Amino acid sequence: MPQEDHDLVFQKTCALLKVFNVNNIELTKDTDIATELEIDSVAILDLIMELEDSYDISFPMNLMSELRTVGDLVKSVQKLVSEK
Amino acid sequence: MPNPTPTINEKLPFKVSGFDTLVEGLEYAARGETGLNFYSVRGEVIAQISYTELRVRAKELALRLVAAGFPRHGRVAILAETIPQFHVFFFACQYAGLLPVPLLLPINLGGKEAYIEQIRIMMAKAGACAAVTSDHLIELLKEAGKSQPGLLIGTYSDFDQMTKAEVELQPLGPDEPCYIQYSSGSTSSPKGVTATQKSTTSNITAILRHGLKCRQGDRTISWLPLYHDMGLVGFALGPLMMQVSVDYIATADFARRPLLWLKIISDNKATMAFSPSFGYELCCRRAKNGSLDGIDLSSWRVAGIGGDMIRADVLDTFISTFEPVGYRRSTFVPSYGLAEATLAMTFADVDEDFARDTIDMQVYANSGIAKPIKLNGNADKRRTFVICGKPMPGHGLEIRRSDGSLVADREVGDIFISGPSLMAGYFQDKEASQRVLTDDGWMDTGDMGYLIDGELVVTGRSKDLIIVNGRNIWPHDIEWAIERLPEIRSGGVAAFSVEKSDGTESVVTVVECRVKGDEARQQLLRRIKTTIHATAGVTSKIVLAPLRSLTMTSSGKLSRAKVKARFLAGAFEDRSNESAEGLSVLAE
Repeated sequence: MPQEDHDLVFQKTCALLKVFNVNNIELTKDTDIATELEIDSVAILDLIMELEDSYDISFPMNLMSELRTVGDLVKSVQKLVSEK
Repeated sequence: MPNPTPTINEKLPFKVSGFDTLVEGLEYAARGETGLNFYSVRGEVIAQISYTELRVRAKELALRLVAAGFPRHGRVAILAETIPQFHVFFFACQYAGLLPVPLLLPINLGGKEAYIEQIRIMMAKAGACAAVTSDHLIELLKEAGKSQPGLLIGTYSDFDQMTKAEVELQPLGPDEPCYIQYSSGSTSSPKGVTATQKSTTSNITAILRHGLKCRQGDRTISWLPLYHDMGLVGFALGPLMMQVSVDYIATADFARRPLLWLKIISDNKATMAFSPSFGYELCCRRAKNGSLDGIDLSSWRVAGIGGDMIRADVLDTFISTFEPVGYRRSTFVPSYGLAEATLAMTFADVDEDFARDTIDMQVYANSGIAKPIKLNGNADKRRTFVICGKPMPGHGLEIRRSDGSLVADREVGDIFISGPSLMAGYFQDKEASQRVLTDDGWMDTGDMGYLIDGELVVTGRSKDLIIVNGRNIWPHDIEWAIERLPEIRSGGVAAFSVEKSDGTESVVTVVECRVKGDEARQQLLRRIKTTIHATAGVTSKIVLAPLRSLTMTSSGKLSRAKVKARFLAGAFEDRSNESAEGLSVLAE
């Protein structure tokens, strides 16, 4: 499996996050998903599900507690894709 | 992908009683072909263990634990993932004379540090001698246990490589403890329920025989966490004690894809599954966008509901959503229980439709009497409860006034329980145990309710009750009413009372929301204020807080006491000064 391009994953993640970005802040890789976007726990699972479906990957749930920023999320998607 | 284990044992007779220990139950179940199946989020069986294999592996591991020289009744912490190794370790402890302590899993986004602290406190309070988890969680566990002296931490494979003792195993006997469960009490001061072999086997037998009338051909499915009594006792120990197969999905997988739960019920013709209101609500939410093609729920005999306040509106929505695919109204079985009573105390009749009781809130607030009210009256004045049934045979349930006397029918009071299912006490916490257990064998549950012809209706937690001007107000009422506002999410509201200097109480409501902008927030505050007034007839101080600022207990229930303590400590006010966007407080 080829390495998924970082920018593409980032763009896709941002697109999925758009609905939660009620204040229209600029999304960077350092944006804190939980606090800056105020996304609730069920919505986070919606987001994870979308990413899983798009990339045909499965997030191990222990990873959740270590994901804080958009960058963390992008990195894990890339890692999971490359491990497929 | 292996086939799931069979529903019925070919030769082994179905047996639900006569086991005095968990080991006796497993020894019997191991003579059949049934067992446990673990499903992936894609609905495939990814792991499997028959009861036969569980017995063999548990006994082998028990010999290694014995060789490690842990003292009898030493506590073994197990991060309770939904995987076969959890069950093997749990039962290895039973064979080795050790007490398993199932611990919660990290699930919150970015919640790593808080999680490590939580399990650190639990392992310290349990005085654990060993702690085990899978490879991917071992670093968290090591971090949490690093400063605890004498604690052996390892992965499942580390323990599998230890040498075996050459001795005869001395399993936990009928008069010994069974396990310790930390899901009671607040997150920072958890209380470990010490379940005994007697309380566990008594409760399970009563549930299987009387509560759920289990029979040959039953098959169970669960997404419930194994560190919680409904998951552990209800869907790991209970099925084993009746030699019934279980199909598991991990809790986090259920949360993402709740319809998978229903799909497996359909595919495997499962008959029994339990959930708190939350789970049924999630299924309805996902069913709106998802397809119900290929789902047939006609095999489902018992859809147990309990664990939090049961909401009739959630059950109604579930019925109307899933009746078209074979779900039957009579499948819902409301129940009442708590970890301190192992799992369950009462069940509504398993073969009947669930019943509800709608009462006049004004009469209740003024007199403490739950008087039925006509459904065509003013909706603000009434409240509907789901009836949770009678206590199981051999168990006592009383509703008492604050002076200890028994109430009349329909009079609200404190729920006291007795019987063989009660815990021995909170682990090494005499003070907390004495607060709830009486010398004559009763336990003050801390919950409130009333009886109708011997059937229980739970109305709330007594310690959370708000009394304003002599009127009783349930915090749930205020919380649920506000949660119905479109901007507010379920579980994001905490209402409690604060004592004023003259001894009277005033109501404070903390509301999580993501609404921004002064004008929008002022508008929301006004609507919340109106809602509270309409619901409870009181004025309340309202605090708008960011999402996830409320405190939950480790079993995921709202901890009003903690939120209140933080409010009194100024946790919410402080931040409102920092930023106009952060919080706003509207005094009455």
